[in-house]
Amino acid sequence: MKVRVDIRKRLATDDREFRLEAAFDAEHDRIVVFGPSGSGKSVTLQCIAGLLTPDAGRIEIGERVLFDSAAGVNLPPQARNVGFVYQDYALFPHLTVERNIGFALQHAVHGRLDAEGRRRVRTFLAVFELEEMARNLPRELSGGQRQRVALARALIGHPDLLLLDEPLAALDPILRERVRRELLGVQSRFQVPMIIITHDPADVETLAENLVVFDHGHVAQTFNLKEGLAAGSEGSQRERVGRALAELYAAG
Amino acid sequence: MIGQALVPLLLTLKVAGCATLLTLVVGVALAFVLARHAFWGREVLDALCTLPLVMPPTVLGYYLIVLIGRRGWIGGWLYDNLGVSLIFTWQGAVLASAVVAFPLVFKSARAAFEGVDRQLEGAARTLGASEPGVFFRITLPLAWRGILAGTMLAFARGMGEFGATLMVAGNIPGRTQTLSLAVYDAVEAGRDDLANFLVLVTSIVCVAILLGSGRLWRPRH
Repeated sequence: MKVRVDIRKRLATDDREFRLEAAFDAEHDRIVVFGPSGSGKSVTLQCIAGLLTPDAGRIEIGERVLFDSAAGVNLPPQARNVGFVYQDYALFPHLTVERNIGFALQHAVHGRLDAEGRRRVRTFLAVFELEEMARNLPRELSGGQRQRVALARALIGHPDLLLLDEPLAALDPILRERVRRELLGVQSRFQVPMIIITHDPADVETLAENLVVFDHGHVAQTFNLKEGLAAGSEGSQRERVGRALAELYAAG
Repeated sequence: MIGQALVPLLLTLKVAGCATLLTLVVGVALAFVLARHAFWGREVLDALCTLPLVMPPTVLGYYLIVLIGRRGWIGGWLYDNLGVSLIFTWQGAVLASAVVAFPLVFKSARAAFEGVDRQLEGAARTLGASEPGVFFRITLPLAWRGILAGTMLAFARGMGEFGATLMVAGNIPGRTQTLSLAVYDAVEAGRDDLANFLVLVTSIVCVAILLGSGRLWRPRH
């Protein structure tokens, strides 16, 4: 899916000011946003989800315009159909695993899921290997299980795009490699385009088809790794990515 | 003697109950607005809402008379248009108790709302929940223990209200004489047995409420 982002946002606290001016286009299903912390990755993701409003610019996914300051378009997050997985998952602490996962399917405040909804929650519990935890609260789960609940919860409503804010950062290194592969599996199973924030080069290696490199509130470089591979120029492309990442680390 | 205690006890429970309900609705709504929206004068409004906690109840009672007395701004309108007056009625006692107990609900509700992780509300929005849906499915369930604890304190405070109630509703046995006023009357009249009994009843109810709200304060998640 084509994702076009061109936004400006100024964030100010009492003693600090941050200016984001991010513009990138990407057309593949696994877009990795890479950069040091504080470079504006997370703010950009929240602008795409509608959790923050840019000062100006335009956000487009597929054929849908989510935000366009010139045309006065600003869809609320509820209408964007974009899934969001927070770094620390933001599971609802008062709801069981199955009610967390079914949250998007239940629209009345105290309504119950219909038969179709319950069937769908059962399917997701099975796919994400959470059946035995269905009636547990989030605080009773391990880190990896929490992450799977967050993924299942975000995917159950058929989002057009899934945004993941450092999905692996809260996991220990041993688990990280496994979950990275699970993410790949989820992506191919649900055929959902993803934008993944990371500052781990290993994530770039495994996950990126499009790579967007952030630095100091700007998009420093973008790479099309999928086409690069197909065109047989893998070696040089990899070198360029490696150089770009190394430069960031040297600077940061 | 039990009969002499029962009438003020029932009246007290009625007045404190209605006052608590009133502060609950207004206090929670106002606390939510102040916890979630930054606007000019927010902290001034917060201070105003907390004022009844530190002001002498008789002063509050006087303010209320100025407002809802027959020649008051609100009371005058009520009397001219609807022919009702709240002075020397149990409804007036409800209003007095509500004003005095208001900060207890308001303060704990604001703290409870501010303690709810904003990310959870954001997550609910990306999952399609409407704004009322976010409030009733996420924010309120996560804040309700703090709100309920404040509400129980407000009820206990309403039960013991004396000064503002006396100013606004007077001390009419059977109509506006609540427990604390009845205790005062009994002591004044030298009826120590009745005073003892009334004090015992009041103490038991208040201790029970404090024990209940103490349990609610303990965090669960």
